[in-house]
Amino acid sequence: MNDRHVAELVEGLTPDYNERSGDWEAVLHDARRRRLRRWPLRAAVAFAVSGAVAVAVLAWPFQGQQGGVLERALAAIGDGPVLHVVLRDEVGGTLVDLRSGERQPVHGENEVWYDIDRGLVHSISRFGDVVQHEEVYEPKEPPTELRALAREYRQALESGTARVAGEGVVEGEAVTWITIRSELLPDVADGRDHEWAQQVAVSGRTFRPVALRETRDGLPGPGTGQRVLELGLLPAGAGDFTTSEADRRERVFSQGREPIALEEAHAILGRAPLWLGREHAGLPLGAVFRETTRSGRREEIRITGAEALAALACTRLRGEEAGRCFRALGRHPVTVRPDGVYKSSGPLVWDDEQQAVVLFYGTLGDDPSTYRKDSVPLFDRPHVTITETAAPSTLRRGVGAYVPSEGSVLLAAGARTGFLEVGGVHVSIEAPDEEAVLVAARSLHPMPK
Amino acid sequence: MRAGGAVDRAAEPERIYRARYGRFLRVAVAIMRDERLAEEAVHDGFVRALRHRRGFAERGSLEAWLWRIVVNEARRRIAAERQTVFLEPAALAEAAIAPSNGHREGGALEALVGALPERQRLALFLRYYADLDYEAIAEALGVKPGTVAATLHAAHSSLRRALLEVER
Repeated sequence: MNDRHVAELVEGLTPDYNERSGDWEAVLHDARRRRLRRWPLRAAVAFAVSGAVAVAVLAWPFQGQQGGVLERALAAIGDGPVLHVVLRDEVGGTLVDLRSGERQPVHGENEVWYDIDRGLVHSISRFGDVVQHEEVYEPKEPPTELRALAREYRQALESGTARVAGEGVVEGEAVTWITIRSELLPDVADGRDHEWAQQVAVSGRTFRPVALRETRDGLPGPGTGQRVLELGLLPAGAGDFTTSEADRRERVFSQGREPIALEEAHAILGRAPLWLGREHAGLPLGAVFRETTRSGRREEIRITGAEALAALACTRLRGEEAGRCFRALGRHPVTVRPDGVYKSSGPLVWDDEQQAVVLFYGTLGDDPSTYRKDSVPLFDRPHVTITETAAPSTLRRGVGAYVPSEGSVLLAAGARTGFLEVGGVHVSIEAPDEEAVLVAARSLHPMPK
Repeated sequence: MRAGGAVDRAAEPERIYRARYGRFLRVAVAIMRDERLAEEAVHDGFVRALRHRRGFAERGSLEAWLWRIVVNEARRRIAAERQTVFLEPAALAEAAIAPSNGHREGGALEALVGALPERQRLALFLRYYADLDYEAIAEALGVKPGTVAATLHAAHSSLRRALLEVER
């Protein structure tokens, strides 16, 4: 019994789900929401609890002038009931001017207002100053983490407990890194415990927090750094709790590709596509695809009777118990609102569709499902992929709705992807490395009709 | 609180998710034998991966790391589900004839695969449903590539032997 025989035997045991596309936005949303909770909650716990974690009294610039430093920090953040925080990520993209080669970083930012009295949160994510996601929501439960940051942070400053991890420089400013919490956390992948710590950099000049980072086994985690651009407690009634963007939580997406003739590309875009010729850097134009991306949402259906009562009962539970209760209601999400109980089990309505032209430069291989020869792009071989749309797509990986200024390319995803706009055509380039992306970006030219 | 960065750090996992979702779901279904739970396992696995992205040490393949997390999530959930399942009387009767590993009676081959040791089953699923090579399977299961080869060989042998017995 060889590999092929076993494959044939096993094939029929479990259905094929190749047509399923999943719901990436829901994954990102859940990761983002839980991520939102982690820092402030643990920070607050670390600040507020002494003895349970390794904590030492500050032993450096603050020694001898600790009272003054903490008083200034307290004065700087205010004492109102509205938390306002703006954090900027260390990792983002790099904007490269294609003529001069000049480079500048582009960052992601997250801004949050939390009104403790009204129980209202307004969260905005930006990339390069372009809003990627925004929502105003009333959490079902008081968000302990934000409340902690808003309230207990003050108490923590007053307690003055922390562990000095070392000194450093953040964007030219001398800082001291302070460990505010450390613990052994299991890695979900290797199942082993690692020392994980959260650190805050305090400006040696203003004594305000200027950066955050996380370390693993004593080493700064790649991509965990965040600049603190704003952190304050505003008076009652202050803050921005309006938003113009609809909540996209329940949206679903699908994407598919089909091979097309090169001549069809013009009609799909409604203008001349950009290309790299029949061959680029020794790579032949192997395939041309039409890529269709659709988004929509499943219609909500109001439910009543025993099913609605069961959902209401779930809302009275907390934590894992509540999660299990809701999951037991079925596979479709159930929402309990003041006007009724709804289940997202209606028909899927696609209300947005975008078509792209994909040019694959590289080697083609056999399709294992149809045995067609040389029909599938081999992405594990050297290749360059050009994807073009007539309008910017918010679904572009890494940059969302951000559009670089013409003449520049934004490098993202480890510099293996570049985004640019040329004459109204929005292009993404995927290549093995940064140099290949830049060479392709400089080589793009209109395809003759 | 880092959506911008999350967007960037999520780019590669997103690419893998969009390109391989069907395979992740198929492997999860194979492990859990329940499509709804499998969908949740894939979802939660990727959520956990994004949350623990810093835990990826960049030494191996990101995709193999994601497979490891999703497989572990599916295993963890099925273990938890087994502890909390309440069966109706009719289901109890059905369960009485089901193999102890939790798989339903669904044909001789399903029972045979279900009776394989867990590592052999997982290696089979990752090889034939996820189409991973030995190295990626090794990373996903936290074993050496040579162990994968031996594990798959053992699975093939067990299936061959068992099928011969069934055919008699």
